Amino acid sequence: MANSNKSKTNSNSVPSAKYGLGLIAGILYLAFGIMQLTATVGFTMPFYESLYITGGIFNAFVLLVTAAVFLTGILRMNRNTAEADAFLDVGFLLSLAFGIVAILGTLAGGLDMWIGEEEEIVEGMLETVTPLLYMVVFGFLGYCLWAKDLFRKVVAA
Amino acid sequence: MAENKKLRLGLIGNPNVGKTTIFNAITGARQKTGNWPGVTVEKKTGQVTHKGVDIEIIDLPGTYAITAYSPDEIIARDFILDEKPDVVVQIVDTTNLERNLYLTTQLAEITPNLMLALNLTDFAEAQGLAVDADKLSKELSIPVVKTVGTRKEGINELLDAAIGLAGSGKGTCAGSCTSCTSCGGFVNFSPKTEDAITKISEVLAGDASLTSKYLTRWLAISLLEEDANVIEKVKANSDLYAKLSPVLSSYSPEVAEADIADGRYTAISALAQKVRIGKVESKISPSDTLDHVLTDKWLGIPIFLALMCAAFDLTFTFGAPFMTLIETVVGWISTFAVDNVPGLLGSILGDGIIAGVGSVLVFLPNILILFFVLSILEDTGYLARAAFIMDRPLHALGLPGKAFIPMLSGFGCNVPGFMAARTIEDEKDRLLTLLVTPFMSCGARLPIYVLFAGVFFTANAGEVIFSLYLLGIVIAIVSAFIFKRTLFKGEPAPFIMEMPPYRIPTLFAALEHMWSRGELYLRKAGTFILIGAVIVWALASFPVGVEYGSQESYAGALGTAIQPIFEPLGFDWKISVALIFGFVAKEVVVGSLGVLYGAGDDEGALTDALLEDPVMSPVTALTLMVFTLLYLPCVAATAVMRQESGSWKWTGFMVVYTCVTAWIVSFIVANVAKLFI
Ligand SMILES: Nc1nc2c(ncn2[C@@H]2O[C@H](COP(=O)(O)OP(=O)(O)OP(=O)(O)O)[C@@H](O)[C@H]2O)c(=O)[nH]1
Ligand SMILES: [Mg+2]
Repeated sequence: MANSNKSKTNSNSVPSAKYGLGLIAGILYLAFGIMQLTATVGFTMPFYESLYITGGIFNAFVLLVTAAVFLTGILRMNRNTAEADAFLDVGFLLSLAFGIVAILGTLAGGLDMWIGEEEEIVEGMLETVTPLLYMVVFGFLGYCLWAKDLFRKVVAA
Repeated sequence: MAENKKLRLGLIGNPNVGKTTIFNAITGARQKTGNWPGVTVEKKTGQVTHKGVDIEIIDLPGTYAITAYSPDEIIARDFILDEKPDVVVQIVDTTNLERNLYLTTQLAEITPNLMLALNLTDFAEAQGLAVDADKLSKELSIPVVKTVGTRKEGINELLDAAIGLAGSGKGTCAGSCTSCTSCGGFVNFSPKTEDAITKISEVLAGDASLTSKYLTRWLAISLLEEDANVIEKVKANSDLYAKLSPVLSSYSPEVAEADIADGRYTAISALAQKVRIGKVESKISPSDTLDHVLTDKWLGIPIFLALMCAAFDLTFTFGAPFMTLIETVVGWISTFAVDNVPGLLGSILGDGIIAGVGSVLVFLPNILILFFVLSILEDTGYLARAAFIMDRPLHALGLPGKAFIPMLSGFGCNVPGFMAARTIEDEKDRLLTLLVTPFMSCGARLPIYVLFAGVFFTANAGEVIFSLYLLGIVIAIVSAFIFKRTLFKGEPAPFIMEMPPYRIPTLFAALEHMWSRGELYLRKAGTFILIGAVIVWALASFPVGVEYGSQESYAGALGTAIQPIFEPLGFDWKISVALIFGFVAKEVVVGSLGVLYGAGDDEGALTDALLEDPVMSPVTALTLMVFTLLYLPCVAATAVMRQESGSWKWTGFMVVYTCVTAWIVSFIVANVAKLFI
């Protein structure tokens, strides 16, 4: 029974590297989401600043949603492989999308300073950094290694 | 056929098969296309000359059948029946052959001038679902061409075939002919039904006025199906109807209907088997799996909200430097005008036109970015999933889930939002949707948010803007909930939405969509907003001798007169004037403030003037944003509301309702925000 199920879906096993990366990403997004939330209500820790955690309810929300997508993928691993796999793919895509938005926002911040002929362009840019920006590493890796196939699969399936 | 004779060609087909894409490819027009069903809700016409023949092309709303249940199906059907196009081209989604052929079976019965265009052949081939066009053409004895709408492939072949078909004289086949394939369709029903069709046809043959206009076999089939519209046509001749009743009453309409549908499906599956090249394996497709993720019971809505959040963040942050740039340039031009053009002319240019139009132009980058992002989300097929997700909570509240599609279209502009409500069959649900659509925050309101959120909530501007959009949705849902319980009691119709396929969005399509929005915005800036600015400038400058923009001017008098209404919300006379003129188009609110604050005077733009005004505070700014979000839609949208609801009463109700709601909600926001900000 399990076998017939497996032969139906093309990718019957998720590469363990994907699983691992998804797990780490999920945990980190969750952690940053929670920290961002605490920073929003005024509770901060000394290391928050070096991680660019400056608070923001929506930022926290986006981090937590991404975390939830990754972790759901991990939790469904034993129940429905294909779906778990898709959750991880969506997680990587979201991470990439939010990361790109964050990068564009930071670039725009610098551009704005430059147009306004202000001095501290780099400082100005750093002010706009959020965890979504550096967490894009996961999205980027996951996209290049696996998630880009998702497009091909859903469009031609 | 004679040179330069005019040919009329109608594009018909299921929703979301690429009719409008083909229409645009043929005519070079830029009608809106989108990856979900129900984008086109109105008939659109275009012209082209192909090989010396003038062709008029008509794009129609998508329809699954022509049994005429919803307003958009009726448009498509009436078009064929009343306007008698020379050629009817059914655009077919090749990846979904069987479902599309259902409509073909009906079309072949209703018109002898049918031809098919197998569109989306690129996808079909990628999915191993190719179709043998020549074989299909032989089987149906109608022309069949292959097209790829997005790449403009097969367009010439389509037009060639259309001209050929029109010249073949097929369409002149006498109406009384029931046997030839071009007049009788290609489905043979069960002997019993065929027998009935023959008997009815014999009676109908006696009425030349009917059979010269409509195909007899189609009339007979429709009568068997108890098509109200056809029965009415036949009843016009009471004699005939009397003769028909004994024949008709010997067949149960339920049985006939089931039998007819059955006949169609049998014919379709036989046909599809013959013409399909390659075969499909049935398996749970990755696309279904992805659907499960994106429409997940718990995560579906959060994912949607997170994406929207990012979209608005990008709209604001990435637009900022470009805004600064435009602002600076506008500042230079207006200073130049005031300094170098003497007298009143300088003032009308600098303080009026440039300040007014300029302060609106500044927001062009934001509009472009937002629509670029929305267009990508839409073309991938994601937005249709979002509509699907929203069905669950809406239905739980007793609301029609289908209403969310018009609401989503309302984000662009309320006008297409109102029109999209046409896809809702239930009259009550449709009216209800029309009433709440104005709460969807259209693109014209964005400049107001960007301006005030940018000035007063700099650090969280994206979030404030996103919250306003959310507030709009919430108010719409709450209103619908109240209406459903009071004005329009009844069960909501179940929502069966077909998921459009996932498609890779093309940069070109997104850019084009973005630009058509931008163009619209610029055109508005050059017309409504320009005129609005001049009027506000005149009101602010006269009577002669008053200080420009002071409370003694006409604008001041007008503002002061209505200001008591807005007093509790904390608005002064300037804002009151701007809100009044915002009825013309919501961008005018910004334009008017630009004029009234004399933004043109120095290089300091409207933003600085607002910061310096003691009346303006974050609380007032928030209240003002909420008020502009909710109060009446612009003139154009109100006119369309009247057209779509067909009632002044409901239009008036909408106007009053939105204004009262806006006032109450703003009042609450003003007082609650005071506690926090
Ligand atoms: N790959 C591919 N995409 C296509 C083709 N034709 C249309 N599309 C895409 O299909 C989607 C639907 O196209 P529309 O032209 O809006 O469809 P429509 O039939 O007018 O839809 P309604 O007006 O909603 O009935 C758009 O996203 C198009 O870009 C094609 O031949 N190939
Ligand atoms: Mg269309």
